[in-house]
Amino acid sequence: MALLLAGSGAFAQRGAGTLSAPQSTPVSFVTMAQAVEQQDYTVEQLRRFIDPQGQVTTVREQVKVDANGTEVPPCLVTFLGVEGELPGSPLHTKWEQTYGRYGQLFHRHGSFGVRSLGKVQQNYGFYEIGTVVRAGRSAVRAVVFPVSTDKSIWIVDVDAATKVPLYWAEFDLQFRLLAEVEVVVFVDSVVMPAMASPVPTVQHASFAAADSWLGSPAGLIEPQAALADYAIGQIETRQDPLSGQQRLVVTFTDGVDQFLVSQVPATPDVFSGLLPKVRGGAATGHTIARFQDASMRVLLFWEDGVSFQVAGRGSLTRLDEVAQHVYRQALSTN
Amino acid sequence: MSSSPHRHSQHFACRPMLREALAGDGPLPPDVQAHVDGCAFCAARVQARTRLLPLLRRRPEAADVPPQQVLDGVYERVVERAERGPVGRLLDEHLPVPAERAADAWPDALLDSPVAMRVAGTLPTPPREWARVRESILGQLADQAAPATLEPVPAVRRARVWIGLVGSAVAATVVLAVLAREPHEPPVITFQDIARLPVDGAIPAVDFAVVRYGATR
Repeated sequence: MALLLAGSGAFAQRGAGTLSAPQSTPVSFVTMAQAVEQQDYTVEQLRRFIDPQGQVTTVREQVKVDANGTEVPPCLVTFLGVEGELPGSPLHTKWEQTYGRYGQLFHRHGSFGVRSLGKVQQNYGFYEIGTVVRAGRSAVRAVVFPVSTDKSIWIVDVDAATKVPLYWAEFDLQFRLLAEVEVVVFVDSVVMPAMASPVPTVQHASFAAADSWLGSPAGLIEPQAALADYAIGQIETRQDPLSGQQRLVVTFTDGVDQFLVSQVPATPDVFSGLLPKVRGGAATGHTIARFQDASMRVLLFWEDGVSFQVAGRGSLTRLDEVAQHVYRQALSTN
Repeated sequence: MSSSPHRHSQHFACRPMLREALAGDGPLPPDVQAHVDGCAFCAARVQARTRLLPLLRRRPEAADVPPQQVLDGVYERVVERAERGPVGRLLDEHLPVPAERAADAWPDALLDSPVAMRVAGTLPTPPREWARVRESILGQLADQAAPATLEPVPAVRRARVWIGLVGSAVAATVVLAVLAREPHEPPVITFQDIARLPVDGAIPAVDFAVVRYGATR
């Protein structure tokens, strides 16, 4: 664990800055889940993207969360800059455009959070390992350890007062650092501007509602998790701000981890002629393109005018099984 | 052989004489002969020609070693060199040793492989359906054997039997085909690994890739 802490690059301000944690309630999954539903906050944080070669890009962002009693409160993510880059540089512009198009998703799918209390208690353990100071606030450092071996391990610094995570580092089972976010400024309130989110996203209570919202295009299916430790988290429809393309996204969660099943209707089969067909198979052309590395696993296939994407963290090899299950569902439906 | 300018100029005059002396086959012209007699350089070359010419008319033979052995030796050296080279090392490492017995050459694991299971499996034939076919045929035969008030002409009777048999067989085949399809095998789905995701535009953008890396990889 000492190696984890040393390698994480954490700015744990020990020594003169070490404070005892004035906790009114202990930090636990329960209190963290409550904070998601009840705690407004505004943070300025550094998000570190680590590529497979170990190159790190640090982006400064502002996140505003307006809790509304649900597990998925509205949020606004604003790009502030790239560390070490001047505004107007090509890298700065590229990231600014990326945040303009995808910013909200960094907080929704790229940050640590308790997404389902029941599931997180089944699938993870919470182990306190000390107290630190983050963004000038007393925080509890903990390790969130998965029950199964195909998920990430998290080191989290949780604000002792509000139970909001102020720092998290994600490691794989080989203790490679996959992602890191560090809050540098924390305010326990929010003033949410009345503006449209960069990626127009609509939450739906059910698949049927989402399907109806999209106009019931042909080929969409209601995906099933096929993994016992995951359950449906959200059902959303999203519109790409650049292309205007609509997609239906079902997010499955085990309490912390997530994987997404995206369906984009009315798309041509870009895989025909590219991927080898199954020789001698009764159903030729049923091929799933798979990209995998330490950080993510993406499975792509196409059926009946719909482009399917199953995407999750790299260690979750069971996603192959999910993709096969969804593909068979699509084949049997069409 | 010296190529000093002095030597070169000294024998410059010999060249036309020597050319004529070496080209000819019979006695030399008097002036050429006079030159050869007086020039040690040319005399030596004319003598060498006289000795070598008969030898060059006949193809040299390896008198001590028969030709086939020479060739075999060459082949052996080629093989030995190849064995010591990269091809030989590759074959040594990867060429499997053939089994001594036929039974050893067929590993049992192959018989339990998924391929073997599929090949060995047969279409299940529900016995109930065959029993129905049999009863139907026997029943028709029994009907034909029972006395009737008006017995049909024998040819017509035989035709009815055959029609009944064929009809029963067709019905049984259809039922078997329907039942055989019911344990529906799932479609075969294969995975194709790709080195990088297709660029945004070729396929819809993969949001999760952006979340992890900030851009589609």
